[in-house]
Amino acid sequence: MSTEVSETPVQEEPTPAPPGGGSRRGPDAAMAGLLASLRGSTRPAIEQVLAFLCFLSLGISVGLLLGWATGHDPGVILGDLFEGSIGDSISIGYLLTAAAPLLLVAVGAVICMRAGQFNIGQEGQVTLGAIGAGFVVFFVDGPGIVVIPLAFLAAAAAGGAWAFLAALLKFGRGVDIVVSSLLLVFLAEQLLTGLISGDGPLHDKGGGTLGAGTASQSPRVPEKAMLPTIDVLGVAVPFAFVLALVAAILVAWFLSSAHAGYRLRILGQNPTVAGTIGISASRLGSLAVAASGAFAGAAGAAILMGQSFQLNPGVASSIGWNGLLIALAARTNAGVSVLLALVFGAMVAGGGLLGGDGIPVDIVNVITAAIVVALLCPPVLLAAVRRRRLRRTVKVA
Amino acid sequence: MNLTTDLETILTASVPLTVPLLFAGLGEYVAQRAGTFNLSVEGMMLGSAFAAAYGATESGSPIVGLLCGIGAALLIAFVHGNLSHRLQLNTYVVGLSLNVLVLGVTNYLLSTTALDIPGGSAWRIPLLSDLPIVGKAFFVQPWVVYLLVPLLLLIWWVRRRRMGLELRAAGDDPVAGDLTGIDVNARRRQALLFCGFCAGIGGAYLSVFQAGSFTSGMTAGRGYIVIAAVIFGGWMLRGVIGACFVFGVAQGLQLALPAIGYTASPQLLAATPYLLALASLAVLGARSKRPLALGQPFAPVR
Repeated sequence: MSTEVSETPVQEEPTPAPPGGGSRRGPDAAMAGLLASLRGSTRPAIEQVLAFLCFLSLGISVGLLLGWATGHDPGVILGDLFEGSIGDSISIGYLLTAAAPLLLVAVGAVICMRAGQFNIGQEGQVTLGAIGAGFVVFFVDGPGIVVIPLAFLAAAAAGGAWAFLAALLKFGRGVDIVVSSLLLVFLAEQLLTGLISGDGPLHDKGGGTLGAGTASQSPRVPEKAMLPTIDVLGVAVPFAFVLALVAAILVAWFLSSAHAGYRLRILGQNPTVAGTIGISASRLGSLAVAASGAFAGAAGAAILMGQSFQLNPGVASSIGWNGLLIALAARTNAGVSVLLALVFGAMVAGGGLLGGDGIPVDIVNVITAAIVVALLCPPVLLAAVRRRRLRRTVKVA
Repeated sequence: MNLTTDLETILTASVPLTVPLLFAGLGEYVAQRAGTFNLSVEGMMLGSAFAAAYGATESGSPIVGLLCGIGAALLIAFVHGNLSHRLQLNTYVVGLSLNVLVLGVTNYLLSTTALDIPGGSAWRIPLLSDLPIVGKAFFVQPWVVYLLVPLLLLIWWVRRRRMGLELRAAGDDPVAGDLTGIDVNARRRQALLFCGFCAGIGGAYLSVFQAGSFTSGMTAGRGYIVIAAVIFGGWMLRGVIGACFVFGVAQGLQLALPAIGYTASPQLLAATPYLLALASLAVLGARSKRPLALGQPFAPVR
């Protein structure tokens, strides 16, 4: 019992041992504690919803406060953010375009974290996905109906394989996934830069856009490989968002109702029990990590063919990090992830209007980061209050 | 070609790139030994680089800039420490979101302020700076670089005191430490503050003393290189210092190799830190000297 105290401050259930038969302690074991505490406090109670909304607005107000401190009217900032994200049908299209890759990443992160595997390398897996999609888009000649699905498949395979590397290190050599997946992010960045500069196969050798031949960038995505939009009530809903929404619904169903999803949750909540009833941590855990990487990879394809239309060194542009943070702030719940992805998408889309009023767009990143920190606080604060109360009771006794 | 001038070129390119890694690396080493896998070191360096540039611009003095930088990094360390070692928020999540937050705040403030950093001159250490090959690289540097010496002595001295033992206990076995009366979370917060102090000097060096300007996201992942250095250094002081030098030279070679007529893939050189860290983890596996409770929150139950 004594070793378990340190691992899980908040949760009520017995501490799960880290999967994979590695050491009982260390970064991955710490994450098991975090995930258990996140799950432990997700009940659809009215207080939960109220706390969520309360801390969401707290996060937004931190950003507005910064704007106010530097001499910008918070009302104008808020107005621009609303106007630019849900003001008219075109703005809603922008919002959904921005939300799609975030949601794909978040859904993938939900899968691996429910399985107790803390993959934080989504940024790198997004990058690999963009590379995979790039190879298909720039080298496969065919109609869009062939190229686009093929690009998504290649992206998912590349992202999944990159995440699988981290799983291999975990279950083969006992390296914590937290650490290895983080290091793989920066390898992915260099790999991308290598491929799109100099003699790299994806380098724009000319005939493309600005800076062709010299800058580290790929050619533009051909017209036929750009993602289509679907008209719903006058709003041009991007295909990637439909895909992400379907993925979120499927994953939510899979985790709550499917047999394999049930086994996945057992592995995440109590690896000891999972081992006893014959769930192979290394097999199911690796699969979950690879699946999360595949979703992040698909997000990379959505970015390349729906937003950036070109590979450049920063193509993942923090979408991997933000998607991961969305999944965490949503307490690994696919439904709440959809909501938060829309909020983040609204920030990105609304940020476009800020520049016109002379307000730097970067305030959007401040707001989103503040939202994440704020949303993580409620369960933790609750636990801190509970601990203090407990200590007081002990003192009285 | 002339070997000595080539070596000198490589060293003069590498040392300025090694210095910020060393400062932040020493801090990260202490934080990790005390049990915090401190991802926010990237944010600390970036925040400090901006605050230092701002302070130096406003006051016209690099020293005030340095102090502002240290202050900003300490603030980030304070927030991180209280969120993860008082409220028990997970340290990885706090670190990642703080990095995003700091990147956003610095970019935002950068576009609302104009920076004009006063230049400083390098110190020329007598006699030593006349040495062949190493003289110019190591002994003609801005004065802030030589703060490394007292910092190293401090760490070396603290390691042999009760404080050092308590810090390591907080990282290796918080339960046992708690039972012997050590305030584990306070030690971890103090270690984080020390990390902030060191990373603050590193960040200020980057903007005020080395580049003489601040650009958006100017740390460019140096914080993560530092984490790779602590891993590759096997969580040992001499290992971390060695790793910082190796990674600094890998960065320096990107600049120096074309100058002396060789070509090498800059991407491969830039990837070296992460490759080496991953390789050392994979080879050592569970046998590494990683602090046993690294990254785990600790809540005393009384």
